Amino acid sequence: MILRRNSNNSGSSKLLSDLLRQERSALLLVFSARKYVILFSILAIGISTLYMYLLPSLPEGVLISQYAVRFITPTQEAFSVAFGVLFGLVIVLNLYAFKMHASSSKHLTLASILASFVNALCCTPLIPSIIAISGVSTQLMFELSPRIQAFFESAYPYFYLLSAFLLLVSIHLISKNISSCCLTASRGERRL
Amino acid sequence: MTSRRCDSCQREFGSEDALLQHQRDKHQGEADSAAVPSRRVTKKAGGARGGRNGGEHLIARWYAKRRLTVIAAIAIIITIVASGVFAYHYDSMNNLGTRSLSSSGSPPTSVVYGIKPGDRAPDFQIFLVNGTTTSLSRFLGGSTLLVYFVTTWCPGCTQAVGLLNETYYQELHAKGVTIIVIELYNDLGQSGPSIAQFADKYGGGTSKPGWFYATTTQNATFTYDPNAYLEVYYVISASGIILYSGSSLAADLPNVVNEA
Repeated sequence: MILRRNSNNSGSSKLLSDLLRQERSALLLVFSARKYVILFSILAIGISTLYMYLLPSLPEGVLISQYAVRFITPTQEAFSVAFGVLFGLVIVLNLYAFKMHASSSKHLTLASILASFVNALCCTPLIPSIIAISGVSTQLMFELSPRIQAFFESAYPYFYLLSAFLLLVSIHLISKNISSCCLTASRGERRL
Repeated sequence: MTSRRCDSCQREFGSEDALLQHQRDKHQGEADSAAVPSRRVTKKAGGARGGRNGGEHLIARWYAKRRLTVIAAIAIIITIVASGVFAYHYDSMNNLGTRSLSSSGSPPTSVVYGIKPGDRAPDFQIFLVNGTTTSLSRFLGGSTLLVYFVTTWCPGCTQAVGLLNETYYQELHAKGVTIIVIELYNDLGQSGPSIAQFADKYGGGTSKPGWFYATTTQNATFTYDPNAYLEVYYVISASGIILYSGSSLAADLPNVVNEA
């Protein structure tokens, strides 16, 4: 029994280390070139700053509000930094993959962006307008619309988590493509 | 002379020179490809996006083309299922004590629909946090009114009130504008802090001159917020005419202050 448990643990840890090895090798390969390091730094800082303005602005119904950043919550701050780093990685890895003619990942990144915009579904006329277009009665509108918006207002951290997860999956897929395509090439047959 | 046979096409030649010439002329391409197999393998690995065998490559390409469709389909299914679960539990959540907007089946018949800028603002009852019951008409005749209907759990509302308190209150008060922040009836059926708690947390308290916090009736909620927005504001002239209205005060505040 103990032996079996140990083998399960070693199996799962081996799987995890195999998964991380691809990311590690891809990142080492990409960041061996200084230009990608500089690009990643600029993107991470820029996108983090953008999200710090964007996330608290969305409940006002605007993309960027100069005043909204005062009202940013700690959750939004943390995820702004995380999104900046993850989007920076995704963009840099995609650029490298494109240059090396390896497959890149766009759809998951797009889905991730949409998931992070969940704050726009609370407190803006979006949900009430969609319900109104469907022609429901005023009573039903008053019952449904606040409840749906309250759901998005309370559950937005989970949507942020979903967005971050999609970005991590995207990074994993690109890393796998880069590892399979370009690690062999980097041993002398191609130049960065 | 020893006869020579070509290994590729099995032709016989009379001399070694003839055999060599034949191989140069006819089989040079095969020799080239045999000599550099690694370059082709490398190209294929790079250009065909990493697939090692044909089947795996075709599946990967099929999925790559339809990935967005698959993700969208999964998102739609999740949304439908979540909506169904939400609707299924709606009644049980009501029975557990979630406040409901109305106990009657339909909006009251005295509701005025479709008020817009240029109309006279319908009068309605206002229940101030200090316990006083008054009406909108009591505030008219002296100054411009900024009437802001809020839900106390809405982030946009807290931002707008915070912004009013920190940045724009002094300017509006100097212009003689009276601010009335009114909680929509029963917070539109959701749980949130009371209007007094809301005022203390975001609005700097309830004792600022020219700034009132209150609740109102269901009639007024349906009249002034017929679309069930979480926040809606009206700027009303001293004579009771609606100058303009909107649904996001935080975004519109700079213009409201300039126009008031």
